[in-house]
Amino acid sequence: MDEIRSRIAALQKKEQNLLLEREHESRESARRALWSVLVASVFGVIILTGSTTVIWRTIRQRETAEAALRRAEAMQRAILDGTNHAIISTDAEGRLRTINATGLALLGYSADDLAGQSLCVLHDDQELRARAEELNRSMSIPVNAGFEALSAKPSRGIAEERNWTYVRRDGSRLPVRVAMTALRDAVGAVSGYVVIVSDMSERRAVERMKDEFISVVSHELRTPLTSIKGALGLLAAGALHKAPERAGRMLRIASENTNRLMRLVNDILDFERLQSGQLSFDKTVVGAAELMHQAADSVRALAETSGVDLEVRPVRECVHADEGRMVQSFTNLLANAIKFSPAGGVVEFAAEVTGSSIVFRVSDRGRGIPAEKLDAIFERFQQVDASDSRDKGGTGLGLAITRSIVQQHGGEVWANSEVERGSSFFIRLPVAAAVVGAVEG
Amino acid sequence: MPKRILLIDDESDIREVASASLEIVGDFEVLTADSASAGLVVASREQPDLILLDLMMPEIDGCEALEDLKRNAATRHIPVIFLTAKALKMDEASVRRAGAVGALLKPFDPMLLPGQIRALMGWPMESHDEASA
Repeated sequence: MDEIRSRIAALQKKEQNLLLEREHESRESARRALWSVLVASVFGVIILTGSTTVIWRTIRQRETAEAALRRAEAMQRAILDGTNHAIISTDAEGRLRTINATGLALLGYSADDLAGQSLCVLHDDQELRARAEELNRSMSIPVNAGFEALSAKPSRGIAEERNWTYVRRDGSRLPVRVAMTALRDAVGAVSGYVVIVSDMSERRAVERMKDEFISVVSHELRTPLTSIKGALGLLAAGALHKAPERAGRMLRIASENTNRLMRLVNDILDFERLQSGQLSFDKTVVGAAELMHQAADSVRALAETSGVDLEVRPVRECVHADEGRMVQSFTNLLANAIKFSPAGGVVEFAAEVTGSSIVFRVSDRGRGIPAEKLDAIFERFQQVDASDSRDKGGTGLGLAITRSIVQQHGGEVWANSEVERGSSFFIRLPVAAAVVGAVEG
Repeated sequence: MPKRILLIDDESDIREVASASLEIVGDFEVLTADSASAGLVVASREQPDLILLDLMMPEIDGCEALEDLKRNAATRHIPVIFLTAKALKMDEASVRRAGAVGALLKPFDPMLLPGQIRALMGWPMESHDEASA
């Protein structure tokens, strides 16, 4: 029995050991499985985190690159739109790809209007035809009157910059200077063109004004010269030896027109020096009264000859001025007022302090200036009547010179007038700090 | 009978000098007017053989005056020569287009002016001696 018990106990122990062993194995197995799961999870998290980081970084890099690209594009667009030139790009066949804001504003088109259109829509047809014919002759190759007339040279690597007339959307014409360059791909084939367009309308207007000025100056110089040459030519040839009275008149004509020519040349030189800033001003603090009396004295003989009374009413204040040039300005106004006053008339030369300025006034009771001519009289050669240069001895530059001198003293000049009642011319100058002691009578 | 020339110019000194040249050197009879509008009246009334017309005049300039002369049946047959102080000498084509026979430039030589007019008009040249005789 004992043996049986002993065996049973041994068996039980063995069974118990076996159970313990199995339980241990089971625990071990579970632990390993748990570790595996844990390790796998950790690896998974790591891989996931890594992948996510890589993806995120890639996205960030792309976003950064895209933002940089957008910034570069915005900068490029700002540069293109900020320039004074129209900048156009086309494909190889001349169809518009892009045009900057300046170009759209200059031509009156919207970007949609021009998308895919030929560059030729901006050109004058006649000019294109003429250019094509010119290229046919000079390059000895057939050039059609379309885009080829524009691209024939740039497509062959010859830089071209020339004047054209562009046609705006509303049909109006715009003089332009166009520089066209071909773009080439990796194998050297033309892939498109860049066209830079400069608006020439302002420059043309300046050139026209210059031509007009030269034309007017030439006319003004030739007119007295014609009288001088004609009069002296007849006298020198002895053609008037039997007509002494006529010969005497010819001498007077020659003399008077020589003076007219001299005044004109002096005024033209003065005006041009003033305009170009070549005339220097020697400014000092000077009494307004002194300037007014100097100017009045210089025209007193003219006033007496014309039977015109000159009244001067100065102020005590001073101005900071070039004495000679300011007297010249006042003299111009006074001489005009006297010349256009009827005999027995009065010319007033008065000054008044208004705030920090002195306003000088020259008034006459002459024929007056029509309202439509009042603004223009300070422009060069803009006399109220073209015969004034002859009858009144003016050059047509006196008021333009006066305005320029006054402006260079920080002042302004203007006029009021009523036809048949008279005119008043005003000069406003800043008051200088010092005050003179007394007003001379 | 001397040829009669109407001189239209707003400059009195030029009228006087040109008149002396045309009368004394050229033996022409000279009529004058100081504006285009006055010239149109004189031309219509006096029927001169030629009008010497200044281009740059106030109110109505020479080109407009020529148009008026050509529109008027009483004056359209009278030949016109421009006498101009403009900077650029007018080319022959533009003078012809305007309807003038020619253009002479100021300043002119008073001893040559009559001969230049005769040459443009196809009038026979006269020596000064013949003219004075």
